[in-house]
Amino acid sequence: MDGSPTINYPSTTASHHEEHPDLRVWGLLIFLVSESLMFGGLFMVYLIYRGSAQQWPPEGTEVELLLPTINTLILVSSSFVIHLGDAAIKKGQVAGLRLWYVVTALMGIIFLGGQVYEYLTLGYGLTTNIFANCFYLMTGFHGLHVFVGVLLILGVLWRSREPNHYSPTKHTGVEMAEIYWHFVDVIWVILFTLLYVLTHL
Amino acid sequence: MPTITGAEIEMAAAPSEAAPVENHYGVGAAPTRETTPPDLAVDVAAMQFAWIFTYPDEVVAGELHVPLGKDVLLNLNAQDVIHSFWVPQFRLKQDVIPGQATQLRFVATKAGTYPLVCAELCGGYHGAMRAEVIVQPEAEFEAWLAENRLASQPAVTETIAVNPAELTPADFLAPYAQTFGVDGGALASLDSQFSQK
Amino acid sequence: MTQTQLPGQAAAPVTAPETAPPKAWKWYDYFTFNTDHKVIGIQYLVTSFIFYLIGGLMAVAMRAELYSADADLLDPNLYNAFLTNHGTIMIFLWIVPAAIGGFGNYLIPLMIGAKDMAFPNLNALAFWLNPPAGALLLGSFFFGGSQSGWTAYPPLSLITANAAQSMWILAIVLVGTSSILGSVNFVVTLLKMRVPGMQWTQLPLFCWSMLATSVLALLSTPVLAAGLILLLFDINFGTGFFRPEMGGDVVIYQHLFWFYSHPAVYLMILPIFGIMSEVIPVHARKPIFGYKAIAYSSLAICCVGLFVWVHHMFTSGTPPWMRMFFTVSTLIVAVPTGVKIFSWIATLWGGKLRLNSAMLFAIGLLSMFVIGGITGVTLGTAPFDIHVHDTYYVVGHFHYVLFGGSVFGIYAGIYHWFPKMTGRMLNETWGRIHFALTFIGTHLTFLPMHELGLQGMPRRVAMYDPQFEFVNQICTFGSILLGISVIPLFINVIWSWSQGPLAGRNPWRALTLEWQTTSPPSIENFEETPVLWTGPYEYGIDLLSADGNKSVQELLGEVSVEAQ
Repeated sequence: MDGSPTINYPSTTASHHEEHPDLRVWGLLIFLVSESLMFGGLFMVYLIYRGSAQQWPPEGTEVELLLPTINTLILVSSSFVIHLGDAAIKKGQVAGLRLWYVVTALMGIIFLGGQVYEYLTLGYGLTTNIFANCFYLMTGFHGLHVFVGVLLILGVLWRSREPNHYSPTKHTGVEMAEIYWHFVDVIWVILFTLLYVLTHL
Repeated sequence: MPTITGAEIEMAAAPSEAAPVENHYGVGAAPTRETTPPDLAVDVAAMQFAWIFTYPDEVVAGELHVPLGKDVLLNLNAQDVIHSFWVPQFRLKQDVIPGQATQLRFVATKAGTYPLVCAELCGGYHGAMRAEVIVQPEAEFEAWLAENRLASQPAVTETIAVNPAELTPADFLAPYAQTFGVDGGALASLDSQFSQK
Repeated sequence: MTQTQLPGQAAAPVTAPETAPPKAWKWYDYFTFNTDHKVIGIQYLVTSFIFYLIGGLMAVAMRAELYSADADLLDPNLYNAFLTNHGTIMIFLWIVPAAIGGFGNYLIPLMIGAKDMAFPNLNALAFWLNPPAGALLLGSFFFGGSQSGWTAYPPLSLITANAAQSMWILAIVLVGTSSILGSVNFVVTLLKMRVPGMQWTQLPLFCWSMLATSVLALLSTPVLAAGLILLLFDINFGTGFFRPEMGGDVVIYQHLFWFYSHPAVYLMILPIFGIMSEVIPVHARKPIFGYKAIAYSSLAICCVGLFVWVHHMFTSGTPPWMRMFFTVSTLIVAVPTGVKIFSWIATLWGGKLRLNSAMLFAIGLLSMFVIGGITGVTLGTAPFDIHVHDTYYVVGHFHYVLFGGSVFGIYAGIYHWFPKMTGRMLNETWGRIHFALTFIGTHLTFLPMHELGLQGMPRRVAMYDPQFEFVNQICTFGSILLGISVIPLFINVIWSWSQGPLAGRNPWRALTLEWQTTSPPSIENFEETPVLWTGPYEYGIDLLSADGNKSVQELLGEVSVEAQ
């Protein structure tokens, strides 16, 4: 190849006048890689502080385990629920899509509610100590992502009112909401491990 | 708090004419050298925008006196922001980081007066944060130390110009704590009250 | 007129006249939320150029202050605000948006034969995050301006000018978001929207370098964002991540910061490497030497560049093993960079050089970047770095890389692609004057700085030891020359935009796809699907016939039909 001219003739070039295929899923995946590094940075910060601390978490800022575990179960299972919605639209069942997406959104809202309840009952705040700093910032930042995910799901529901907006062959928006939701879920599993499980060992 | 041990500075094979200092510590140094006690240990406090050197016996000075050919250990402490201890002629530089005890160890091999410069941006008058390192024969150094031991005292710390507005109440009151019979805990609580406002 | 038509006119409706494309953007379209990648590219270039002038004025003000050893002209705090914002503006609002946003957006779809970027709306959004960021930075001067350097190391950044520092953080987060969104767009466009039949080995090298740039931006920018968010919380919401008295650790911030900001150096130079790889073969009339080597070395720089950041922290009390590791990894970066340098030199070797303004800046860049690169290797070596870290040696080094490298590259790109962007040629005489002034000014300003640093002058100082006064005065004169050097460019661009001679499709006889369309390209880029009949750099091989009947010259002639 190198050194000799490579000549392609018009016959090999198909027309590209038609619109290019929907690339939004690609875009979202690449964006999420980037986004995960943001969480990665926060995880590293947390691990460094944990590694250099005498006692972790410091006296008086322990976390409880029961409510967050329930919350985790809700969020993790919502990932399966949202997938049912995606499977439904692939079969052309808009009603199924709407049902499962409503359920997912509700589970997300319950998760956020549980989070807020936890904040209110923990007995210490953002500024108490370095563990509290990390705890509130990381869970809060994740909560923000859950909130955005709920908004995306609600957006899908809003658009699904229009008949034929989503079809078995055309439902990129549905898929994107689902991928984002899975991402939020995976991040939570890591957070839950770091902040709750590993502080109780 | 992590302690940075050893001087960690290794010379890029610079001849001692070029750099009047020897560095025995750091990458490739013999581990035994790091455990031997230094001939002289000096506490160095860096603050906006001054260097304060505290010698054994509470001798306090605004310039660093070093005996020629002796193994010197500096215990560096930053009072406010990050500073950087730099003696260009020594090819030595070490950031002075708040909250981290930092050490620097060297042997000066040539008598003279050398500039000491802050090399890390520390505020508006960062460029003016300069002092001197005076390398002198041991006898001269001892004489200087004795002279200052006599003239010393608590007074020296108070002659350093500090802006009270930049200090927390605890820092500001610290020199008077003993006079008033206040202990460190009370000062700390005062500090936390202040920072919560 | 009757409906009779001469055979030659049949193609007329298809091939639009050069001067007036049937559909063209009006001037006010450039001030709106426009999704055309060409409009966005020019928006980036013009906006960033304005910030370049603002940042440049700050630099001249600082040099004027440094003319004498005392802090007599500027208040030291204002000086610090200038140095902080000079760095921030030049990096985040000049080089990054001009090189990545400007040239990247304008050229990538054209070079790969696409109509637009993959996500036009996202693209426009990414651009419009920049003006508010600039406004935040400039507005921060009403609150004293952030004064802790572009590195914003805590605790200094926590205790000085809190409001201004917070605005600075928000500005960086905005441009960082813009950078991430832009990179998503570039990656997807390059992966998915190449004209059918375009192999990876036929991709112009600018596209390769933009791919590496985008990947690097995607991986490093979010980490900086995380660090800055923690800093923002420390300043405004009472957390103590970087407050030593609250158990925080200031060195962690440095790690987060440099994990982004060292790759940021490559963000600013990789697109420029791409521009070099386009400009040099066109004006040397030779195939690029080592296409694959240049393409893969961009990716190598991207990978290695992610693991060198601690060389900015050799004096921060990093443990010896880190110094050793990061010294070695830093020096490794010199290898792929050297591959590029030697490939360009080999491309120039024996070429029929056209020493026009674009080529002059490209060759000037080569010489400058070699100086900046070699001082970079010295700085990457821990024992040497410990002496010169945070001195004027570093300032000299990175200005050779960023001014002698990136800015020269942007200039070369402007002279090279201005005919494509506007349809008109720039004036050569003014271009050469611009080059001469810039070249002399750069050396005069930045070469003496190395000496200052070695002799013991720290950077970021408003007042310094009087023994350095003379050398500083040389630098100041150089900076004034650099300030003047922008004027010929400015006049040339403004005048030529409306009055310059028409360029035609392909004034440089270049082979990449963007030269196959009209100048400026129509809104849809290509009236017809562009024909990929040759690789991007197959110059000077007219003895080889294309299919046994037509020479490359003839084919070239067919493609670049001039209107007249």
